[in-house]
Amino acid sequence: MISVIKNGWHRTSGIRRYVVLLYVLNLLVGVALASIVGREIARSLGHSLAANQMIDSFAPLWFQEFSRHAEGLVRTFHPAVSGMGAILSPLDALITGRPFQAFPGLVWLGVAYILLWVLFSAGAFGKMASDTERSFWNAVGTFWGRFVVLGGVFGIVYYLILGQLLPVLSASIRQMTRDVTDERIVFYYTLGKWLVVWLLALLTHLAFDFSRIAAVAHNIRFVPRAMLQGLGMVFKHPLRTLGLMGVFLLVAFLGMLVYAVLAPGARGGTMGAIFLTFFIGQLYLLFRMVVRLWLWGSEVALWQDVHQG
Amino acid sequence: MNRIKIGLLVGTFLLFTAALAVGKPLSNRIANYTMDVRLDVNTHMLYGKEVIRWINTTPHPAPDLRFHLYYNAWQHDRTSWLSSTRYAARGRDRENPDDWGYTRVTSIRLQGPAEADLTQQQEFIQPDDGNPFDQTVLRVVLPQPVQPGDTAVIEIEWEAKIPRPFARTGVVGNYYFIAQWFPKIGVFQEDGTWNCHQFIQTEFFADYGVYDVKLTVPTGWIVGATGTEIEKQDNGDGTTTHRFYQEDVHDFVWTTSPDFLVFEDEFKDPNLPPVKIRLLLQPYNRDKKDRYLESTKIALRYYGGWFGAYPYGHLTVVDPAYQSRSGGMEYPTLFTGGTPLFSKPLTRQPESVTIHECGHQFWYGIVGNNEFEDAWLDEGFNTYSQSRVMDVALPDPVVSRYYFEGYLPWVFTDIPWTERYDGADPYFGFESPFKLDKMARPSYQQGPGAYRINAYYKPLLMLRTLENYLGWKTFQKIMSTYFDRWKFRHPKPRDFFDVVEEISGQNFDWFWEQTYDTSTVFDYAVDRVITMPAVPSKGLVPVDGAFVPAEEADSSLAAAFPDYYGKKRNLVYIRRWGEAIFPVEIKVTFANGDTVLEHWDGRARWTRFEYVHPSAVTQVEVDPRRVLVLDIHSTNNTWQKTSRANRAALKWATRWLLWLQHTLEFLAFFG
Repeated sequence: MISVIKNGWHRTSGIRRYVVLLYVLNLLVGVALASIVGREIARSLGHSLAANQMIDSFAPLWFQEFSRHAEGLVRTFHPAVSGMGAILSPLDALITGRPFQAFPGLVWLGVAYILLWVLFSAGAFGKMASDTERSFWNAVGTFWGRFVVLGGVFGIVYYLILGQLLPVLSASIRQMTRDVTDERIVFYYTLGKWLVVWLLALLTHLAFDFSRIAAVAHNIRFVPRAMLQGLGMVFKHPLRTLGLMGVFLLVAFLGMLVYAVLAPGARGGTMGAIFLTFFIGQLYLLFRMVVRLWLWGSEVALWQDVHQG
Repeated sequence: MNRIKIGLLVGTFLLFTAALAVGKPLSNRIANYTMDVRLDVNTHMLYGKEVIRWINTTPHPAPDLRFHLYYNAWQHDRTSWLSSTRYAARGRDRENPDDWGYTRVTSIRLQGPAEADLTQQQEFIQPDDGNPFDQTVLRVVLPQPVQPGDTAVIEIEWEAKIPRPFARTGVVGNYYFIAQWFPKIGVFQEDGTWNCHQFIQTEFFADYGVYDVKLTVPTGWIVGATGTEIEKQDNGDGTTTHRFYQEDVHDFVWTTSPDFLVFEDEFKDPNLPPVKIRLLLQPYNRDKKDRYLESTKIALRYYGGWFGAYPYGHLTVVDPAYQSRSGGMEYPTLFTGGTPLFSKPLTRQPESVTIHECGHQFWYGIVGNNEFEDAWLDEGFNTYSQSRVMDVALPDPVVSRYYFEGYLPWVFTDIPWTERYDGADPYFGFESPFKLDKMARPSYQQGPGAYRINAYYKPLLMLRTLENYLGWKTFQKIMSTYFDRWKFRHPKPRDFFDVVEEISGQNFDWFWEQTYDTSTVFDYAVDRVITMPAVPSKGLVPVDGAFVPAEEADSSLAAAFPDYYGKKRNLVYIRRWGEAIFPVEIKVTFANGDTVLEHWDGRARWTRFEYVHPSAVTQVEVDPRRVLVLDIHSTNNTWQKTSRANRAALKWATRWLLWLQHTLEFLAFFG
């Protein structure tokens, strides 16, 4: 496992400049939308002394007024977006099966961002898993069609798990625990529900990744065949594939714990403090992207380890 | 010698009056109940027999009797309660007939010399809305009216089907919380009419009395109830009868479950009578034990110290079972709290609800206003008092959130939050929630969304504003006088207004008219600030009979206008956007640090203050001490010359940016 992870890191380093490109895209989209929110905040604060409170920490009375008037994207502004709230809020939405709930426009933005990652994965896997030497963009051009189809198919699977199975399980738990007066029991049921759902989601994730690797490594054009190979990899080697995923989930979790300690909260309104918040936040975001690609690199390494040796 | 004699005389007099006071009831004990009730846990049925000794204390004969049958509010979805704007959605989750409830009076008899069987005289009436499907008020016409001063003894046998919990009463699993459960006589008023409203969207009203209640439940089950347990008898058939007794209360509630953990503690304070506290806790909330007990003591200490002592000597605190919907409610000598499974101290759960419901022992339990009509006299008073206690006794509020279906509490310790009393309910401009209805409208008639505003938040802010206006010392005297004067009685809003005016020595009609009788809103604002040189700086200035450019007339201007030369002319405009009027202070700060405090009666639509001052005005605050917390828009109360909005926006937009980036990145899981 360690050699696979090492090998994965080596492969990931080969595409680092493209990670930066993806990060810059994420940042640009974010900055464009944040400027809308910022403009509304500034407009609402005007010459009020509430601005001073907002700089020092937060002005709850102003926020009550602001949030009553806010519409669309601006409605998502809440003091709990600071510190760990920036992570916990979207993670909560994902885990509980409501990943697009943040604001109405997020559905299209999110779908576009997912599509961007799918296209990016064509370049990344194409470069990391292909036998032939390819440029990143050549790989994107070669594999994007297959990856988009695979993405569509696995998107349906994700929808079935999070959009259908999860609500059914939730409703079943509600029904089963209708007369339960001990909240711990409901809590354990809920944990079990998440365990089942997210085990399935992670298996789907692995199957999606290995299908893409199969499509590249064996240059498979027929998508169902790539899927079969991907599923075969996961189900023939569940310990190794899930183990690898587990290692990276642990790394991601540890990274989150470090961020929880370092993440600047609501205080600090100097330019230096604002920059530090931005800088630490961006570092963590880059860390998350790198960990994702490192997982991909390691999956490619595992694939080759299984198929070549 | 004379002093000794006088002392002896005074001492004798005090002893004599104390002796007279011993045994004197706290209340006038109009409605007194003796009940014997059996719970059947297999069928969720209650079988009860009660004897009511009711005294007609009015100068009018009572030709009929009226009773509340609250459980009939949950017979079906066309009762007035389930058709009300407030509760219309609550019946939708009822999946089977066993989820509904009812009360049926099987026998009603008049005892004593005028003994008569009145069972056939029963009729349901709908005095409030005429809804023919509503059976929450039972009327019985008497063969002979109950004359003034006479006592009617009524024996009622009844059965009640316990529903899946509605409005804090019902059964879930093996947890029973039984409130508003027995046929309860209405209030016969001084004008000779019954105050016995249908159960629609508000709470309750009843006369004080003595309750002596036997409750038969399965052996081994824990019972908590109004009053104290004075007798317990094992019936040998798998059931045990618990007898509870309480004087001078206006309701009786009980709960039973085999799962409760029981903890006992005592509230002690050198200036207040001790109170035995009995905590019935859910096993999974064992870690909240100290938080419940401490919060209860905090409430007893501060309410007791500020308003008047808790007189009963005992109090039962119930931690409600999960999904029992019985949390956060007050009953005489018993209340329910409520807490999430995982709760960090700074989330204020269960502290907030515990202090609030314990506080209702004072505003509802002891001062027994009519909750059907004037809910704000208990909910508003109590929310005000609770907010004050939490200010003094708890750490400052901060933002907290519950993630993952409520199982991960997260406290943002560095983000201050606000309680409602810090400012009016969230500003909504023209559509302010304060305009939904007026406080003076009877609570059971309040329109959509208005009950909560006018029962809780607006009166809280109204009382806060009064406190800020009069000062705590005077206001505390007002509250304690009102409490003392109206304990164990039924005050109306005017009774409180009278106490305010009596203690403060001021007429507040202008305030009641604006806050209570109408739904006008307060909104004062800094309109604009203009600063210019105090002497002409451009144009032509007359100097020695000729006009010279202002730029060249410096020395002449300095000589001619020494009070103006070198200074700024500052114009500060203050505006009243709201319809309501309140006197406000305006604090003006200059660049050199000087400040001026202005007083404006607030009547005109706008006013202007002018200052010729060496410095420019840099900051203006309307109502800087935040006296008028009823002001619906606090942001426009302040102005500063150099806007810092861009810096604030940059800071918070940066944080929002991180949230968005991570939101997108979590979506990338699917990519």
